[in-house]
Amino acid sequence: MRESIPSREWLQRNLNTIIPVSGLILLLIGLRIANPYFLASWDSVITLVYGMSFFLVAACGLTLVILMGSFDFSVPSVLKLSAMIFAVLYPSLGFLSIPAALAVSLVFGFVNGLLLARFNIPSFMATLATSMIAEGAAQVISGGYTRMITDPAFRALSTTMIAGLPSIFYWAIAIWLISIFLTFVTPFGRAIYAVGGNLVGARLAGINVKMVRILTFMVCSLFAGLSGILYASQIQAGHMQVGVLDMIPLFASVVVGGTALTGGVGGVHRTLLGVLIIRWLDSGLSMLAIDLNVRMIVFGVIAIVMAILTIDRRRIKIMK
Amino acid sequence: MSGNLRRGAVTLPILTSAWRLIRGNPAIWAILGLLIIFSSIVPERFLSSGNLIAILKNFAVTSMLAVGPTFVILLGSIDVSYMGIWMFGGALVWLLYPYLGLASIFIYPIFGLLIGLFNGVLHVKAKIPSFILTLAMTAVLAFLTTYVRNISGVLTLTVPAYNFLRESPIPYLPSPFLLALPTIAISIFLMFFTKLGTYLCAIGSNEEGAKLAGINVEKYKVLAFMFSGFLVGLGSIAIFVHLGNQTRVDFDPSELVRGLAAIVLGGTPLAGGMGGPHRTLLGALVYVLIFNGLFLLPGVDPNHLKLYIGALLLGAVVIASKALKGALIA
Repeated sequence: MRESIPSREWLQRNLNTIIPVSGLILLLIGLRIANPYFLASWDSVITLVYGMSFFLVAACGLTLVILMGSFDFSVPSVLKLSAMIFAVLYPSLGFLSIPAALAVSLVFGFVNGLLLARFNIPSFMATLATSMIAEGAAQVISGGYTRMITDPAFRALSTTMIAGLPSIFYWAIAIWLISIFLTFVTPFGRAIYAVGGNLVGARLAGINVKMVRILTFMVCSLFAGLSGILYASQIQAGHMQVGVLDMIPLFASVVVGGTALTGGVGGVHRTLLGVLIIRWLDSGLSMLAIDLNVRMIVFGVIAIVMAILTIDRRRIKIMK
Repeated sequence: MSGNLRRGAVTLPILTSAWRLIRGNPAIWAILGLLIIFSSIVPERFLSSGNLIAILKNFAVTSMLAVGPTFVILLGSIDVSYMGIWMFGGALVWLLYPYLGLASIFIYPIFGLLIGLFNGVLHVKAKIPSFILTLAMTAVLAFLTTYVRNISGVLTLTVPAYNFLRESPIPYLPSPFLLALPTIAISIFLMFFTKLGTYLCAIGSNEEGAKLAGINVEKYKVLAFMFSGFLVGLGSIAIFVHLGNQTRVDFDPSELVRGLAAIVLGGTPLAGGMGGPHRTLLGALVYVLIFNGLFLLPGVDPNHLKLYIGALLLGAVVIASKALKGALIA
């Protein structure tokens, strides 16, 4: 007997996909009705693309860590520090400042991973501490000033138009595709799912859990650093307000895509949907002149509701 | 050792428990060390009465943020909703003052209790990781506070009618410190004179075992979150008065560190099962002494503050991580 397609079981099994997709469609229709200028011209499409691209890069990294069942609080701070290093060193080093910024980001990822894997410190606590250090370092190297870079080559990294869209969009999509490749094709990616799905089982299956954890945090921080570089290039400066309000929307976009907080369920491919929903909602609401604080409240509530809906409760015995 | 304790418990209970307290709490050695170091390097600035009063005030603020969440950390969970309760509770006091008069300050503990109940039920029933849940809660409440400020068209949410609370009846003891004492007393009472403290430690060290021993784990988890919220709400009155009868209106996630650092420095491990509010009080004193003394030293740049806080927290969690050996940590 064939079951009818929209059966109860099918709905339940695909809830994590149905909610983001229908949410995105409803969002587009709603914003279009509320504001006739939303997505009315190609320029507005480009604005939306600028709003979501750097965000997608950072969200891909955070997704990997959440898939592994951990959490990285330091993503916005590493993003800020990397943007700052890029902008501060650019006048003397030119584009050689990119590897410098990425190297510092990698060090932060390594320390985060080491604190979790070697010292057994809960990841949110370890990354809270390293995020303070990253914030402090950004403050020290910039002196708290905004570093403007007026060199056109600096901006070209993110704003060169290719086929009607800015280059930062292609960077973001490339990172997104690389992350999908990483999680679905490479042994490392499968190990991330294994560690997130069942830590003890992964260890017994012979996976080097410590190595996987350290590497995942390093990839996450690398993407955060890259996102900071692209964002600095997009806004032509590095300053202390970069990334300050990004933690809640970043986290919301990962869970809205359907990646469960408990790890092992979801994937980077879903994060694109989540980023689209959160950033388009953000742009749409700000075009309607909704207060920034209200938008943040909306994201916080969305994050909690989606976290409740996506967590796979059958596997959990003890929730800390 | 047990014989020692039994003999002591009959003859000199206070002295013995005092010795046990010192031996079991390395934070006391840290406090003594910091006091000696700072009073020998910068005696005239560190030991001035103004500075000592400032230390007491800062101790009240830091410990009031940290004492309540300690009960949740005993479970091995975490509660960072204190920023939200403190910020939005103050906005509620400001909003309700025209209707309730001076009684509106009591909205603080009631609001904290309700948020704690909400957190606890959601954590236990919907099984959301407590850190994420309470972080989102803090963010929502904090941005709500800023929003209230923005739409009301005032710069700060100040209630001048509470100015009488700022006058301390006892010289040299600032009023925020006196206002913090009830919260400290309640937390110590809950920890040592009710079964709550024992049960929370049991759940934190072995949840399955606690369940098998007949403890209603879900009920006590919700209770821990409720008392956490209640104590933060009650303690926030002291912070409210300290800040000049107003609440903070702009949210900085890095402020979360203050409460967590006090808990970790005091020696309550993040995996739960041991420690308690008495340790958190010591941890808060360590935290306050370090940052009070540090910026009295010549050549310390306040611009580097976050760097030092991060390094201190990192060092504290690494040292405390010995207690986490073998635990399964996410």
